[in-house]
Amino acid sequence: MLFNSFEFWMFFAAVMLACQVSPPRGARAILVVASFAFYGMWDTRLMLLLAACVVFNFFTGLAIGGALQAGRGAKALLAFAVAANLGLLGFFKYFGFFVASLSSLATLPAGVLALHVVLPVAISFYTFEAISYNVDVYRGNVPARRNFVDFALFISFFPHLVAGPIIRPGHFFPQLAAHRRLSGEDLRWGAVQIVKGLIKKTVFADNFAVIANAYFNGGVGESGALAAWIGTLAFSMQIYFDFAGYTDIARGCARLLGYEFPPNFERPYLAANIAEFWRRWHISLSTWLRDYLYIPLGGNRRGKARVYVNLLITMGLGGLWHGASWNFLAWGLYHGILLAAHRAWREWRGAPPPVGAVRHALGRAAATAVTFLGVTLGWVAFRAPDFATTWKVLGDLFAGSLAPDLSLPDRFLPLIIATLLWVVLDRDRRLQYWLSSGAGFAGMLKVSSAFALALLVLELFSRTDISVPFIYFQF
Amino acid sequence: MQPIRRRSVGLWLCVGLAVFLATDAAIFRSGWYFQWIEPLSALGQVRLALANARAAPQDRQAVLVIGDSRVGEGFSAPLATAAAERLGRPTAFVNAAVGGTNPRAWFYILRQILASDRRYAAVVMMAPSYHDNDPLALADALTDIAFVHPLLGWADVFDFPASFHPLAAKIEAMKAFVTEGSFYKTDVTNLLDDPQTRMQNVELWRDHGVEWLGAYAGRAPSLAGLRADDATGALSVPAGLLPLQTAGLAEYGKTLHAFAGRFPDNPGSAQYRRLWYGRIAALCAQAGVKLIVFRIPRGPLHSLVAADPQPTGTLADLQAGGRLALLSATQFDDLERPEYFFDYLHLNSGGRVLFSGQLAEAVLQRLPPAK
Repeated sequence: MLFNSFEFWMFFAAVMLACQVSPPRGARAILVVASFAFYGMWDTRLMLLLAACVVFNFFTGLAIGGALQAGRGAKALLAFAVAANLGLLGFFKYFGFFVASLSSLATLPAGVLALHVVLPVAISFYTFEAISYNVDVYRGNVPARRNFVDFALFISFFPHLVAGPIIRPGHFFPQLAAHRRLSGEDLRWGAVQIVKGLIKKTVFADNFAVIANAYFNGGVGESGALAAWIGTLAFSMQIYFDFAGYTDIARGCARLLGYEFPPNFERPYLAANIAEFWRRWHISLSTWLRDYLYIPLGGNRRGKARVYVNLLITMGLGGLWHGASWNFLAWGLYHGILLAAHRAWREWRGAPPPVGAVRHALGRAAATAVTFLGVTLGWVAFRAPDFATTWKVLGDLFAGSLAPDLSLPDRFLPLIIATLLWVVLDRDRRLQYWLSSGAGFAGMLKVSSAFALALLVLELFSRTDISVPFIYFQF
Repeated sequence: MQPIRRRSVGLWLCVGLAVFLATDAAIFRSGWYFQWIEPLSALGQVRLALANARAAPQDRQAVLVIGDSRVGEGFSAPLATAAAERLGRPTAFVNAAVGGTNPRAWFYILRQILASDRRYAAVVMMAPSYHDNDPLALADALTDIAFVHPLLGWADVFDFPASFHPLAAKIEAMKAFVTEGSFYKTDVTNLLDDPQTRMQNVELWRDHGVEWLGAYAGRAPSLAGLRADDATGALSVPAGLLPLQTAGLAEYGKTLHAFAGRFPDNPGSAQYRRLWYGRIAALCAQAGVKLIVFRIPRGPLHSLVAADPQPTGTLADLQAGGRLALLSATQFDDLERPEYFFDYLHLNSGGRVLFSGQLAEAVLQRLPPAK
């Protein structure tokens, strides 16, 4: 059941109504049941896995909390909890990959060691949330949760379940205590987020997907440089609008159910360097990796050389988190190298000297363009199915022939113009703030006009004729 | 700061929804956008068929011929009109065929045409068979919505969706009334890609479309040399065909062999035909127009199977009730030969010449001379 399907909105309306007429505790129980039902719609067997994850981590949290009070055994319990969660993730997500790689190295026939393990939807997200919960309890950042329903809601809450944002216990649990009643502001903010998310997904991402898929799913071998640039640029746009659109819908839905999720994207393609990009892109993952991997590895505290190694390890594993393939690992390592290079450059150059406003703006624009180019080139490995295709695309980007394909795909230019218009309109989220503020007749008039316009845009330009799943659903 | 009340947000979202629906209705439901539709699209064909019907000459009796692409390819209105002239029965034949349509779409197209001031002496409608044996589930054909949504009125709001069987299809059909713009999605984006060319095309087709349609001579290639293996139904196809044509012929050969040229009757077909042929008959009766039905030449090798002269089921019943007239089932059997077809379904230009003249003659025999 996808966020851009009619069925989801029927489901959501029913859940929202049920929560509205129930007392807070009952509403949470309804949300847990609804979340499991939502998850079970992919495959009912997976509900058991999710339930096992919830039960296991609920008790490990309690055990770690108890051990902390007793003053012994907490570290071992934490190690056990983290290892179990990583083991679960590793078995379902990486077992096949490692077996296939091993078979390939040992030149065994394909399928000899395969167990044909099904990859459960969302497992990367909820295991990371479970790990952060156990670590946060151990660190004393949050108390172990004693209410099972509250904990189950934290792990399974359907707006963030399948593709994030990755929620932190310290951000989520205090909201349960607040018993917030849905306000007019919530309703308006949530509705604006959802409509914006739907436009990002069905109008921008899906239209870019048609162009990107045409290239990566068949056009790679037969085309030259222009097609490679257009295909790569289209995917760069697709993945941003797809994931940011999903996040907007998730945040909007959560808000309409009385919860707030942190932002996951802050206009990342406007970042002026790669470190800034990672502070703006998939923020919930990058901060998770920082807090639960990079810093425990030593972060910046163990000398210059170790910082670079830590960056490579963190980003390499971050890449692998997306999927069990060498391409994802290569994509992560590529970003690790970019981050390390940026850090080395910054240390070598020191703080930039103050310059005039115009020079500063021009410099920032150039840096933004270079960063965008670097990020976009990285998407080739992310999107291409294998190394061979990755090399072919990269080769075509820089050394491909211009002769065979001098025409632009249909709708490419209008899409780029619409994208630029969108960036200008919604810069610094001003569209969101403008539409979410202002009471009275004038305030409401702008909401209804914008809502009508958005519906018209969705009606005419969304790609409901094709089914393009959210990219991050596969992770 | 003044708080935002929940009720007012809900109210204004409803206002926004109402504004959206009103805008959609003003642009699309009013028919304003329909005049700018891509002339060569499915809806463009419908528009051309309606324009063609409006342009029928007023100085003589007119006969409207309707059907799918088999009529579009196989029937030439100017050739039929010329044949009528030669027979001393001046009659203007008008071709309102639209490729990809079915009786449900023909009903709405005919309703639109017959509601105009132009009087027709007869509506001549194709039938793929004289039995209730349509192999496809026509009631579930979602493509019908794309062809007829501009022709629907509020009176059809329940009836039209109810004519589809699966719930998803009913919902899709209902969308034609609520968010009609969604059916123009591809057309709108194509228009925005190159508005100037679209406007020029629309103007050109508006000025010359009827003339171009009349001048169409059909497709010259033929399947001469096509043979079937009596034992297996496997076909030996002539060289130079496109893969799609070859695949279509292979499938045709298989079904011809399996069913000896006649698909088995099925209740879904009977139900569909009773509804839509019945409605078309009622529509013509109401408009005082004679309804004549003919069996379209079925395929390039049907001459090899036994003749199938006896109508059964819905069409036979309607004829018995005096609600329509069926041309003889064997009327065009001589045309069911490879040399008159360019693929497994459509007559070529040679077949078109013969069929148009023969149909005109057969129809005029059923019509009283014009006063």
